[in-house]
Amino acid sequence: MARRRRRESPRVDVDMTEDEAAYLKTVMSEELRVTGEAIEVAEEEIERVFKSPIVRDLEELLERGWFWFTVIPSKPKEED
Amino acid sequence: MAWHERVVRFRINTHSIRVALRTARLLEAVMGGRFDIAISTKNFILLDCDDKSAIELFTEFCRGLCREYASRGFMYETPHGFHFVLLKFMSFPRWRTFYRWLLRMMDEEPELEDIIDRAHIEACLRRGYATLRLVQLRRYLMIDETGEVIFYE
Repeated sequence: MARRRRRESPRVDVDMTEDEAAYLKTVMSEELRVTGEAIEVAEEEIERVFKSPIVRDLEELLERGWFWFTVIPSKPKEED
Repeated sequence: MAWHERVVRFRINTHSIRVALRTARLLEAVMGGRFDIAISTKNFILLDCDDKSAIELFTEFCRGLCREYASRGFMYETPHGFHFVLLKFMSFPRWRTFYRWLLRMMDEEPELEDIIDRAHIEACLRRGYATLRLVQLRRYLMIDETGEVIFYE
């Protein structure tokens, strides 16, 4: 069987405390039912990420799985 | 509790940009705040310089790394500082050893604290990987294997 490329085999890790994970699981499972369609991602948004200079510079390393994407809270305004 | 206080430790890692963006949008819908997309690695060195006035010293330090490791590096500018990526693959133990060595260097040479963000290095070691937000980044310069600097327009 052909081996799947890493980018097509997404893995989601959540790095948080048990309490935070329980909270997130609860609210996300509720919201998923009502916001499922709202979280479809526009192709333009994906294009925008791939046009980011660092993603273009590191494209091969991303393909190899040596870099990956992380979702993190935006910094509060006063920390910007 | 403000949303960012509650979720400040949330970090969702994925190799799929589609999963990352969907997760960010979902979290924004649920939490009401904003989420950024970043890139992370545990095999390449990422360094932050939060003091824009220290750019010359930061560049010199990065040139030294490029020469030492005979590798290229890219530097990016954001409104708040500079970020450097050394294009030298390291095993995770070697990556960790580098950051620990850098912290020891900063202890011995406190002036390094002026050009390299210690908190960023400590966070890298604590999490086991380095992260860089893809927000308002622009190419600043490239350093080749010999330490020669090439500025972007």
